[in-house]
Amino acid sequence: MKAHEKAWVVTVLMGLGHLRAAYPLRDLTHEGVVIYGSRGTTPDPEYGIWRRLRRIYYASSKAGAIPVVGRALVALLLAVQRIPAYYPKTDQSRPSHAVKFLRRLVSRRGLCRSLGDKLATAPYPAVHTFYATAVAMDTLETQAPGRLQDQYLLICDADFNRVWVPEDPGTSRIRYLAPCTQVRRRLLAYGVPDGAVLMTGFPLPKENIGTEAGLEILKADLFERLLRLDPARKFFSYHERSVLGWLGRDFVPAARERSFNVMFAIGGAGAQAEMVKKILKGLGERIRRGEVRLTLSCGIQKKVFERILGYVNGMGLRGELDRGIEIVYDQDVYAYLDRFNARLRRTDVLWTKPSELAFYCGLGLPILMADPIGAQEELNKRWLREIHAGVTPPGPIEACGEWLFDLRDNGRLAEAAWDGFLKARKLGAYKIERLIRTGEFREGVSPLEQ
Amino acid sequence: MNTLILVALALSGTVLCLFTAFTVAFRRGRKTVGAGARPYPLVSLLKPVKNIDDDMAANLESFYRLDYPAYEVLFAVDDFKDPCIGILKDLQARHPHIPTTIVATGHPPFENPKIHKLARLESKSRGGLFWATDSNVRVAPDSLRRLVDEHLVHDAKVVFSPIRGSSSRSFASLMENSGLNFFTSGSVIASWFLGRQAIIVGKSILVEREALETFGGFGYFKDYLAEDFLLGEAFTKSGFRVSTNCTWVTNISQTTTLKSCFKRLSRWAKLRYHLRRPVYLAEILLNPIVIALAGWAAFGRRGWAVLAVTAAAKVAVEYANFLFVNPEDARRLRNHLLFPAAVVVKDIVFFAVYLTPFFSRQVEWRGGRITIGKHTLIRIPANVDNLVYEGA
Repeated sequence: MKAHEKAWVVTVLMGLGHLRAAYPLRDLTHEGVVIYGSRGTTPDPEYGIWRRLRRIYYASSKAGAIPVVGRALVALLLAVQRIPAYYPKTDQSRPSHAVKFLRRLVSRRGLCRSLGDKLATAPYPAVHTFYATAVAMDTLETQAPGRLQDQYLLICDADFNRVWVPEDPGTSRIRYLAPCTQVRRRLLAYGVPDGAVLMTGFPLPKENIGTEAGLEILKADLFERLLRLDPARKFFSYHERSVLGWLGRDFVPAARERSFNVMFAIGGAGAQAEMVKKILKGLGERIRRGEVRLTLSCGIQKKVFERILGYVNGMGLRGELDRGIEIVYDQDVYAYLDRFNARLRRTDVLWTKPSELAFYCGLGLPILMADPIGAQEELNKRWLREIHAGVTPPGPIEACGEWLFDLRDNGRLAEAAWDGFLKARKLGAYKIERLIRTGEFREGVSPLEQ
Repeated sequence: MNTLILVALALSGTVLCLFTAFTVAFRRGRKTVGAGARPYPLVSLLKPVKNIDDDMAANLESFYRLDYPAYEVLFAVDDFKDPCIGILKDLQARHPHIPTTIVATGHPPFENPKIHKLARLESKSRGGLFWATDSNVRVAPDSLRRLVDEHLVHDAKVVFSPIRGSSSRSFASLMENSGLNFFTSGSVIASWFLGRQAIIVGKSILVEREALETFGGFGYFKDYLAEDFLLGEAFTKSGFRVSTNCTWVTNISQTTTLKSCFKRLSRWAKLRYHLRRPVYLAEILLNPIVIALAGWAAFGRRGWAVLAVTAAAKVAVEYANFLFVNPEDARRLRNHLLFPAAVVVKDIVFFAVYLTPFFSRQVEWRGGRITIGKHTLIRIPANVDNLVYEGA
């Protein structure tokens, strides 16, 4: 692989997941992250296609809340997004209808044509975080060879639909950046040659990690978090030596902070906003008593933010804003991600649907798993369970004031945080940067190298 | 068909009578009682200004004669070459006891220019309450005290006002003022008292600083052109109390031309169209003269009679509003003589204005052309990176 100083980093705004994956790669970018399909980057006839796609995405994300019709729509969505069972192992390389539809959109409707023109203006490889742009560039390159450099596609879930891989993966020039082992297995099942798969891990924010060699920030934050998550010292009684060894500490301090910081992250489409009401009901009293600090991450949609603020006011918790309750919102998506990442450093539990945020368990964050939306999130949830980094709420949301504290006091959350740190890859951003800049790739073996 | 038109006219008449009834009933506002001995907080009067409006010096002067213990005045201009600077400096010099600040903010290319100014003024201000008003607005000495009373007594985070259009000297300004007094203020007051729907007009908004800061300040609305309406909507949705005690502010329009009146009305029409399309489509029902004109053919020879009766009724309803709500203009005989013609022409102009959003998304405002989308989101040209969520 050729070395390049810079790369194009291409994403789409379809929820926040794909952009969240692209943002940690911003140091690598040639012209900043290209958010394709937005008004600023996409000419008018094609912008209409993207707008319609986005509309379908957001509507389907929220359809589950509608009693009968909504559930039927969700069932339909699940059927479309279906990810075939991996076992027993079979050849799954046959292109699906979605793959063929995408090819038609590219070759007949000109999807991403202007992106091809843009990428051809500078001789840099492109890292995509959404399949359509990568597959489109691959198709355009087949039609007019030599225009574009290497195309990398970062998979943003722990398992995924066939649509992420073009019709003939054997002849495609796309190289895949895999966040976990199951993704590698699935890519091979879809017919992607082994040499085209690189186990980089999901790119996590570097500001939450520190340097690649030292992981200083991550280690320090994790150690503090483990102390906060283990007030009864159950976790440390089992894992003390392991923690001290991996985190390079000499001893476990006797004194520890008594705060408990929970973050609830609403998906980019705003689908879980309704849950906030129940969470506030469950935690309201404890927030008032200062026993827990709740961060509500609402993304970039004004209407979600206003709804959340309405719940906070409605529950009589206005006085707790910026004390026991913090709302993370910004209309500027980059400002939002900066605030989100900064707040994560002080977070003890990340409560979210198992989206791309599942990979954030690599930062030593226990993931409290809300109901998944879509087949890929079901499999993200399975992956989190497999590595013991995800915890399923053991009771109704309204009772979270009871079970959250039980989970903490019996050391279960600290264990999930620790397992996530050890087992999930955390150096994706660094590995992708090195791959582009040097053309070299080394997967690493130890938890501190992955 | 005839029945349908008659039903539409009856419906229209009922709503318009309600508008008049509400504007007349609340023409002196509603006293908020119970503020008692509570201390009045410092209020920052925020005034984005550009160029010179009709009788601007007198308008601004009225803000220096407020019967209120503690307030400061902050003006924002694009730059210090603005023709109104002389007036502002003169006011500052003549009222040294009232802290006055003049800030040049520049003109943002892709933001709501008024919000751009308000956000800059916000950062320079000291008050716990903001009172944002337009430069062509004049107020009574007790206005601020009454607005603050409403805030204190009812814990209203936003207090809004109906608008009285006044000082008509030209035919177009008589039309425009009549539209403000009848249609705008009628819908503002009736919507509030009948359905608790806050239709906030940016001519005058009192807002609590702390509540506004929950949203990140005025900047929260910078990407939208209908910042006033959206501010009310955001506060209401977020569980903050929004209220009015009908403390009127007076919009001074003396020499408006038909062209500038048309431009302003069509800007407002485009905003309403992009905010709530179904409501906008229903607005045509509030134009009985146009309904009667449309139904002319259906009524055959009686079409004239229907039109004449409708026009007479509409003039009568608006005239009642004129007499009670706009007494200053009612002192001029010329306005009485021109009033029937002004009502009929206005309604025909209103219909032409009503059609404009169906053909154009572009508005002219504060020296720039702005293209708007859903919820009046300001559209950024294709060559500029836009990260604002555009909605699904």
